[in-house]
Amino acid sequence: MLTGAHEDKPSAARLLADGDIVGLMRTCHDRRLEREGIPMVLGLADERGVIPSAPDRAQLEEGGAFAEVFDRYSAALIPWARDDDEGAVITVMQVLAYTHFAPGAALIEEPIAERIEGGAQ
Amino acid sequence: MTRPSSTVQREQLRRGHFMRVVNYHSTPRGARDELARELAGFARDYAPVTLDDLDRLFETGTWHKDKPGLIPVFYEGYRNSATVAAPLCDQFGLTGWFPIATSFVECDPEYQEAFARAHWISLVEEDTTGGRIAMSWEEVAELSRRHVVFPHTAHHEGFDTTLSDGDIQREVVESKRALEAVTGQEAPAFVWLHGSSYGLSPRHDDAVRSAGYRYQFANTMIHRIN
Repeated sequence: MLTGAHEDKPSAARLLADGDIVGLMRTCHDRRLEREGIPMVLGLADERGVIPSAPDRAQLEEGGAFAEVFDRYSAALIPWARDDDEGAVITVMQVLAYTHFAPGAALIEEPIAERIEGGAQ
Repeated sequence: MTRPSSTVQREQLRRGHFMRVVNYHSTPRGARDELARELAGFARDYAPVTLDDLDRLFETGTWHKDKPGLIPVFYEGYRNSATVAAPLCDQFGLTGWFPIATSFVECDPEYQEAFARAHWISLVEEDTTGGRIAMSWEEVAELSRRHVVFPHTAHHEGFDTTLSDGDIQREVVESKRALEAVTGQEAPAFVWLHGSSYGLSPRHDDAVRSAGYRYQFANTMIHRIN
């Protein structure tokens, strides 16, 4: 079961399979916050210098997959936004995190990305 | 200064520079079982993140544990963060991160509901049944022995409402001193109301950095600043 999926509403997995990114956003924002956490994926920024490149292949592959999903969800939700619209970035990242890392959530992998692309047309 | 943007977020992800976080607010006893199931799921799939782990990730760029890291963050300094959430973190082997509005803790329990309503601290029904809503300083000190506690300003303020030098001193500097006096440890991080990023106001950035914080948490990224 996905975190945040109300019993009377489509699960995140169902919405994802249908390519309903707007539905994912609504479900993500319509949760009982006294009972459920808000998953987030946060970037890392070192204001003192540069963070060394990640040599771990799995870490890079997962980040690449997240970046791809970020672009797909951005195209579906915030094509109107300025690049530096912080609220828009947060909204997309919330949907990404809600969909792809809550307990039992869809793994971030290519077949899912393809399914989203197909369903979002 | 790294200002939030889609371009920045995309690049951080592509470089593998990211961390999973789950934000919580009030965690009432009445919802303890649901929280337990959720945290158990996270503990199964992810590794705890201590302050040393986060330091190491910034220094090397590489996450060093078998499972990806996850930070459960319990905001505001609710009493139930200490009495419900923290024991569950202990049970499941998770390291909780607790941003605390220090003046909420300092406030006389008789007035804590009014404090909360005056300062954007959301309450659930169980919070309003009488008695103390915020943690006690003793609970803060106890938490700091196993988890990470840090200021969420003094009065749950945003940088855009922290205007005068006195405001900055109270919300950024004195909140740190208050917490450190109780825990006997460095308060390693800071977070504004609304999770505003570092890089949005040079004056406020300078204040947070000069106060000696190592990290600023925001809703798009974690900034290492010292």
